[in-house]
Amino acid sequence: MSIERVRNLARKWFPAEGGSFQSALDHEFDKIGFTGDSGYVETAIEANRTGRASRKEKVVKDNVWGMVEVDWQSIRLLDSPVVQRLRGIKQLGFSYLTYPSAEHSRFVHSLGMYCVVSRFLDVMSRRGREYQDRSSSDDAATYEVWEPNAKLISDLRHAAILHDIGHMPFSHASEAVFETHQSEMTCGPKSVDDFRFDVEETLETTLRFAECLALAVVLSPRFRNFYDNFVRPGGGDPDTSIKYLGLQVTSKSTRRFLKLLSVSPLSAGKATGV
Amino acid sequence: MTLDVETFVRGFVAGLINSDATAIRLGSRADRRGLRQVLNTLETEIQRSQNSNGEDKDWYRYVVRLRNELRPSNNGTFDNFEMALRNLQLSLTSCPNPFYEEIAFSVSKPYAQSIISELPNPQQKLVAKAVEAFLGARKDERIENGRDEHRKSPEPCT
Repeated sequence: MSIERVRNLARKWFPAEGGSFQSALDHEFDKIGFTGDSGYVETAIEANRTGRASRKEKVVKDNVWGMVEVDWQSIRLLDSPVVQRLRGIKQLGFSYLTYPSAEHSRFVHSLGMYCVVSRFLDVMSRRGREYQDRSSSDDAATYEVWEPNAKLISDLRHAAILHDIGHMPFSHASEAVFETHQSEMTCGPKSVDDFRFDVEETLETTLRFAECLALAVVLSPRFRNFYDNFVRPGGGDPDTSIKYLGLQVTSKSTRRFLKLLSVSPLSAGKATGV
Repeated sequence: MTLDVETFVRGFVAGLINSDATAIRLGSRADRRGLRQVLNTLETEIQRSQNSNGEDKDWYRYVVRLRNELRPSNNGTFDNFEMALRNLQLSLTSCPNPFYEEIAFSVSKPYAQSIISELPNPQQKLVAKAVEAFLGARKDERIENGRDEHRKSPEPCT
């Protein structure tokens, strides 16, 4: 999958002149409070522009990961309605009926994922520097050191927060219903089958329905406006940054680090405990 | 018409049996090259379906999904293809050796022929092209390897 394919998908779903799919998505955004004109998004952007929006980092206490330091950009993302919505979605679907303690939400899971990804990145940076210091005294270094830069670190942290925003109530249980009756269920003006096929045809990969929805949210004009002008103001080329985020959110990137995180037995998602 | 990955892979294995192939060795370069050619065949079929003005939307979607399912993973291995082949164990395939690298075909030619004859016509054609591409690439790789072997200088005697 390449960033160019993600751009093509964004153009297909959200052409410049708008369309029924975009209207349907905006209508759903309005329902959860992620309103556009004169609403949440514009208010937030205006607050950033006038300097009223906070840029303080926070420390969040988590009962699994302890004290989690969250940077100000990630705070803005976590506070947004699209991510806050995950508080109402159970991570383990209907499992709580059998295991009463399985009550935690996708929001907590996303925060845990953020923590684990941050730790991975910190360790990789530190070990890279240690290796470079050691190998500078040797004649030849055995390995090439890959050190993530600040932009990539932000990209990956935000992808960790956003990776589950497409989930529906009861997580994979409801997803199974939609995937079984793809032609009968609709996603805005399209059938679920058509919607998923847009992704399969353009990105040349098979993604789950929730991942397709996450892509649709991340690539939508309203979210892009929010992300580029409030979460990451001045963060470089907006088109590239949001498409790159879309690439990472679906965890199918060819970047070796995300492959390690998403596919290997040591994946961050699994490390947060389902 | 059942349009799924399993049906295609069953037909593919049946086609290989009909062509006197006895196994696929996923560790071998020849067979990996063959699988790559199968993917190229699917890509060609996708292009052909696209150019036919959308006459058969279901077929186009089927081939696109098939290609997506069988394509190599990020590290270059044909994991999904291998999984589809191994899923046919106890019916068409078996993995007899302890290293599990070889997927052997465990049915007779007449049975393989009957599997192919049950496939609808478009799938039969697609399967035939895929089998031809696989065996052709495998043969080419072996010929090239044969040439390379001849070019190597003989080991000195000790």
